[in-house]
Amino acid sequence: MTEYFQIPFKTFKIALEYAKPSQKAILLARKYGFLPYIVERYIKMLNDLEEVEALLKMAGQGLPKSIRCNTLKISCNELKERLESKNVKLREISWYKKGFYVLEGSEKIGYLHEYLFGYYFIQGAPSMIPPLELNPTSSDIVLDMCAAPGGKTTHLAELMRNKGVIVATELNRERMKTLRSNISRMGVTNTVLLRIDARKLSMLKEVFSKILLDAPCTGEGLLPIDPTRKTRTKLEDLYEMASRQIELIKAAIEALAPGGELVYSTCSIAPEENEFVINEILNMFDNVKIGELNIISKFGVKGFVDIFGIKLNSDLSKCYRIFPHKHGMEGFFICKIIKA
Amino acid sequence: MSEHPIFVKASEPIVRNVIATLSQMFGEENVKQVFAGKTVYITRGVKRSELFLATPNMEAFISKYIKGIMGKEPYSLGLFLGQIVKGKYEISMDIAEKLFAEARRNAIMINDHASALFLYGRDVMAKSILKTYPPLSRTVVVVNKLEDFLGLCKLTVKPKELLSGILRENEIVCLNIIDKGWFLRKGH
Repeated sequence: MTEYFQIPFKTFKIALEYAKPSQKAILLARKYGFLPYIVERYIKMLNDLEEVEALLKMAGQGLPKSIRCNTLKISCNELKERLESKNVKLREISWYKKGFYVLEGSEKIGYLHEYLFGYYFIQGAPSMIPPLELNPTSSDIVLDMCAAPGGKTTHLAELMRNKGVIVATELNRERMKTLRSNISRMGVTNTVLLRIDARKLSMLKEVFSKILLDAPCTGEGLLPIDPTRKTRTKLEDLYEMASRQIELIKAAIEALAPGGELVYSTCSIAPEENEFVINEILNMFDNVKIGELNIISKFGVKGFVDIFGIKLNSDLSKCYRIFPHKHGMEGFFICKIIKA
Repeated sequence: MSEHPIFVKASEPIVRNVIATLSQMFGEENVKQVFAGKTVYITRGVKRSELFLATPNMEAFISKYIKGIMGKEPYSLGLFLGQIVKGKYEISMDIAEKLFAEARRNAIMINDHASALFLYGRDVMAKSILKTYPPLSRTVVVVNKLEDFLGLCKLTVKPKELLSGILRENEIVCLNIIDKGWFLRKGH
C-alpha cells in the first residue's frame, strides 16, 4: 500500500463488500470479458441490466475522432472549408461550435498540413468541456495542473485570447516536451510551463483565480477506444488513484484565491475517482462548495449522491458525468469547486 | 553542464542583437510592437541558451512565486524567440510566424508541390517560387499559396535573382532551416 491510501482507506474496506460480484455480474463479465467487480459496480450505478449491457458492448467499439478549431490562428469556417476540400467530413458538436466530429477522413487528421500549422487540436469531445466550464478571462491567472499534452491548456489560452497568464504544470519529462511542442504549434504565448509534482503547488497560497485539474485517473471512461480497460484496473488501483486525486485537489484548493474556481475532471466514470473524491474534499474543507456547471448540465447525467449504499453530500448532484453508451463519447466526469 | 536551465533576464547586448536581427528581417516598427513592455529571458547553465519573451504579468509571477516562494525555474515561458548558438542568434518559427503576420515581408511563396516537400525538410528550388515579399534578408520565411507559414530557409542566391529568370529551374535557391513538419518529426 502506498501513502495515497491514507484517506479513503475506510471506504476501501466498504468497497470490498459493494464490489463483490453477484452471479449476474459474473455471467456478464464472462460474456463481455470484463473483471467481475467492474460489472457489479456498473449494475449498481446504472440500475438497469439493458443499460449495463449497452455500456459493456461499447468496449473497443471506437468513437468518432473530434477536433477543436484554434481561433488564435484561423476562423472555424475557413478551417472547415479547407478540411472538407481534403475530403475530411466534419459535423459540428451540438454544444460547442468550435468543436467538430470527424465523420470521414479521420485516418489522416493527425498529419494534414492544417494540423502542423496549429489550426486545430485533436481531442475527445468531452475534453473540450472543462475549459469552457472554467471560462477564464483575459485577466485571470490560471493554473492548469497535469497539463500535458496540452489540449486543455491551449483551449484555455484561446478562451483568454492569449492574454493573462496560464501556469501549466507537468511532472513527466517526455510529456512536458509534448506540451511545449503543442503550445508552440498552436501559437500560444501566455503560458509559463513548470515541471513539478502538482501537489507541491500548495506552496503557492491563494494565488490563482481559476484552476483546471484534469486529474490522472484509471481511464475507465476510455472503454470505447481502449478495450484493455475491461481488465486493467483492480479495485485497489481505483482507490490508489482516488488518494492521489484527493492530494491534488487539496493542493489546488490551497493555491486557489478566495472566490476562485476549480474545475475537476477525469476521463473515468468510476464514482470512486469522482464523487467519493469530491465528497472527501467537502468533508475536509469548510470553505469550499460545489458550483453550477453550464455546458455539461444540458446533456450530462447528474453526479451520484447515494451509490453503492454510501450516502454522499447532496450537492454532488451538481457534478455531471458522461456515459459512453448514452452520449456516444468517452466517459467523463466534471465538477466545479468554489472557494469561499 | 546542468540539465536544468536557469532563466535570467537577457543582457542588453543580447537583446539589442535579437531586436536588430528581427528588425532587419521584419522591420523595426513591427518588432517594437511585439516587444513593447516585455522582457527577454535567456536560459543559462545548459548547452543551448534559449530566448523567451515574457509579459510583465509573467515576469512578476516568475520572480515572486516560481523563483521566490518555490525556488524553482520555469521549463519555458511566453513566446519562444529562438536560441543563441556559438554566439549567434537563431530565430524561432514562433516569432518569425508572428512577425510575418504583422509585416508581410521577408518571405517567399512557393507552389503546392514544393510546400509539401518543404514540410518534409526539403530545400526550395528556383522553379517553385511564385512570389517574394521584399525586402528579403538571408534567412526568409516560407509560405504556401494560402500564406500559411511553413518554416524558414536560407537563401543561396541574391534576392533579386529569385524571379529574374536567370536561374536554372532545378537550382536550389533556399536551404531549409526548419519547417512545421518538425512538430511531427521531432518537436521540442
